[in-house]
Amino acid sequence: MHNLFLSENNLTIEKRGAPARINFSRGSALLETMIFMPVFLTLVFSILWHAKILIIRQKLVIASRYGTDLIIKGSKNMNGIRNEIEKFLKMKNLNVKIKISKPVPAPAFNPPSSYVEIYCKIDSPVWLGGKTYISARSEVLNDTCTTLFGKSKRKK
Amino acid sequence: MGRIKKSGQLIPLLFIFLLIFCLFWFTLLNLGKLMKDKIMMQNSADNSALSCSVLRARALNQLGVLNAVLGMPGFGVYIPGLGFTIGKTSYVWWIEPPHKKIGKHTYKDKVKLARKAIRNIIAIQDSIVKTYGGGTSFIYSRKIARRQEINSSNKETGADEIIPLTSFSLNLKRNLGDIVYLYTTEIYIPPTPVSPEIWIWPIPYPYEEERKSKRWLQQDSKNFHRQMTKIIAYKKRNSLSNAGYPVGSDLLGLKKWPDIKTIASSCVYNKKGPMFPKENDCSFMISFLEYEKAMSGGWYAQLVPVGKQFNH
Repeated sequence: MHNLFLSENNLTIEKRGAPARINFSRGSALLETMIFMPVFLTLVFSILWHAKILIIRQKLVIASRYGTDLIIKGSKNMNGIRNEIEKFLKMKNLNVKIKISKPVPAPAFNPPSSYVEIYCKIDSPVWLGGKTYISARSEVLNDTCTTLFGKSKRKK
Repeated sequence: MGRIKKSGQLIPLLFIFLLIFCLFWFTLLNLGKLMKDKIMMQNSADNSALSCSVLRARALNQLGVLNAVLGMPGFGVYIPGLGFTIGKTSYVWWIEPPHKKIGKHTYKDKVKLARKAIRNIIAIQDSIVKTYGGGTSFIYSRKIARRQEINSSNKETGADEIIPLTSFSLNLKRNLGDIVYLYTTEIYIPPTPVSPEIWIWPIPYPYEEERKSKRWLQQDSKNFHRQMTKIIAYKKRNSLSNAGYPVGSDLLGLKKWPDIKTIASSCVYNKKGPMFPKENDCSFMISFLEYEKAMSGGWYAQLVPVGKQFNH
């Protein structure tokens, strides 16, 4: 007949008065590491992934502002602005939407403004929600109507 | 001797690591959002102030043209000149073309038309000054500030509100003075065998005199040089886009998400001149000549440093 005693650390099996000790403590660190490591790696990956997303988001905000700054400076070439933004971001899966409004003489209550919207699609793991869309926007009123009324040629 | 516990040594350590990494993760999410919002809000304040100045520049450019028309000389047939100023009195004379009808004739159609045209131009100027020198500029700037971010539900999640620190006024005043409207008289006697043709045209004659009437727009001497717009854009802590933040508030000990405030300043400028006459300057054709000097420059808008009181 075997008597089982579960001590604090060891499983002790007594057999015919001669106790035989099986020590499980040697592998416990490995076991704990094996259980913990996926959680730990997931956490690290999440931190890195979110950091990447945040950096991209900030870059998109800055790029959209760059686009409206170009519009303010008098650029009417939408393809040129799009190329500048794409060159600045150097990213794939970008969708840049630009609207440049023509000036409306005063006193228009709601003159149309110009804007730059940038959308970016990022492929992420399924457990992080699959595809992620990030967007940024910048809007401004662009034309002072100086050329419309003043007939001036501004030196750039 | 006490026994050394070998098992379970790693678990508490790993949990501490886990907690530290979780805290790091939450901090990253919160700080990242805060930084993105700060950049977006600065864009919001900048674009809002700049749009306000663009509206102001548009108004000044258009008002300058209308002011020039009000100061244009009224010489010549068919030229729709409205008036000229001698001393403190303005004379408006739209010359009637010759009709060569026998006798002395006075024509008042053109003078009535001129008076109507002047009043209409002044009404258009007043509407521009009222619209772009007040509420509309504020509403438009606020709209621009709000639309710097639009969420997936198509709701505007940019700045919640703006606070203007300067007046939206265009800093222009109306010049008041006397206007004398003149009509045209024509005398025509056809030639006869004993006398030559007599044709006197055009002869000006006062039709109506308006005392202290509205004339052109002039600079408000106290404030015209202060063409600056200063705007604070802010996002409240309970704003729609701040829902769910701060992440891990209990772990980080943060109970409130901060309000975000940004400030920006812009101004309008004209390199060639002010385009509008100085206060109480009634020299000859002054409003036309001031426009002529400044028209090649035109009014433009730009961002400027906020100033010493507020660090940018």
